[in-house]
Amino acid sequence: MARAVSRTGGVRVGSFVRLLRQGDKERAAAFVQEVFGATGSRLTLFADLIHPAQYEIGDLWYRGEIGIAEEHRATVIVEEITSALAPTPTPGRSFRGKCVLAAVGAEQHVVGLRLLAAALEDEGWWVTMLGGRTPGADLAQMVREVRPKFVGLSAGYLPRPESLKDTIAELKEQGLPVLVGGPAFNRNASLSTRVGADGHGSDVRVAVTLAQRIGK
Amino acid sequence: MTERPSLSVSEVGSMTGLSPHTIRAWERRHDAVQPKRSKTGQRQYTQDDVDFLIRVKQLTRARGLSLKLAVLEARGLMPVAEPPTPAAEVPVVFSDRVDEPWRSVADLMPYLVVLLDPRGRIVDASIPVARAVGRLRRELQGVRFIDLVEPYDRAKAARVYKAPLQQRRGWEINLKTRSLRGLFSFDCWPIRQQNRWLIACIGRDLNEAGLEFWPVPDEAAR
Repeated sequence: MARAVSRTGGVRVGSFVRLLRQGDKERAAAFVQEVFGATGSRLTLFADLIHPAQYEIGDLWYRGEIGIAEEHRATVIVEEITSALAPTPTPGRSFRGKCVLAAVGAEQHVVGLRLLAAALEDEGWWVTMLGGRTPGADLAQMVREVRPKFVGLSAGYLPRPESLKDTIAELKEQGLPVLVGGPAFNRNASLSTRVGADGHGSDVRVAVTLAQRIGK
Repeated sequence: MTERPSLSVSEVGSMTGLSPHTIRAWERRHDAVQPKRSKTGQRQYTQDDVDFLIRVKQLTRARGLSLKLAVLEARGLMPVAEPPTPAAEVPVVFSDRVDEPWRSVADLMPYLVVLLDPRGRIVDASIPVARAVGRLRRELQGVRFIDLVEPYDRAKAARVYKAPLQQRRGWEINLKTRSLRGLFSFDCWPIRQQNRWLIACIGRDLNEAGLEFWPVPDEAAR
């Protein structure tokens, strides 16, 4: 198998995408372990390999070059491999605060949200993960109980902007910053500002940096 | 709308995984981003700059594109190979007849209905399209569809007519013209007309406020 990381330190995302398309879980896992070993950080692994690969797979499906079954198989492989990775706490980290992550509306896709939760935990955040299909009212109730420093919302498909705007407005009434992310926001650059979010985590590294700004 | 603070080069470095040196080099060599300057000369980046740099980085690593090509692709400016056109092609002629049955229906629908040729040029369009882009319907003939699209989405928009033609559902595209800026979800179907293929696109408005596209009676005659 070709080396996962080039001599200049670049991660060979294209090779990983090919393994995912072939459904070769074993070699894909070995590939991830090689990058993980080279970087020593879940955040770097997610941002430099997993997210770009997922983006490519999603784009191939979006262009009609692969079917939905192939796309789902790739996603399941990524979920299995990444969930088995050991935490990599940032050296010298301190407790940054609590946060709540949820996928809004009818959203079921939470792979990106899970990766973000893992990366935030490595950075010292206490993460309450609510997962997919979280109703706005229940989210607000949970936020009142947990009292987080910020809320992260994810959407894969474009949600109804009005309902999302209402959810965000309700959270901000409680004085909470709201970060948003997911393919729906990546595809539509202005959506995050239109719904009143304080930041758009276009990938896991951006989201963690924005969270650090909030946590200061 | 939330006002976002600008980002320093080191913050952009943290967000993208690129070194400040690399960011400045990409800026200098390929105009990848053009940050504003503060009064003291510091670069001030936006979230759009961050998203763009991440996309360029992904394209170099996932598709093996050179930096120059990755910048073009991320801007939606990569040349799209035009599908071969049969020699015995019957040219599609824009119809000036106002009583075309499909038009009467299309003009009444609160959707953007556009008919494209295989090179992505507009063959015909409904009145809501003309209203949305602020032009007369007949002026749209021959206009490239991607010229109505946000630069970021142009590569995606080009896939609507790129060979092999295929049906697409829920193809979200940001349109941008002098009088319109917004997100639309297009359903696209290849259709056969006069021995050649065209692409019928129907765009649904996904914008928060909703746009007013309904034609007034005398517009249909133009």
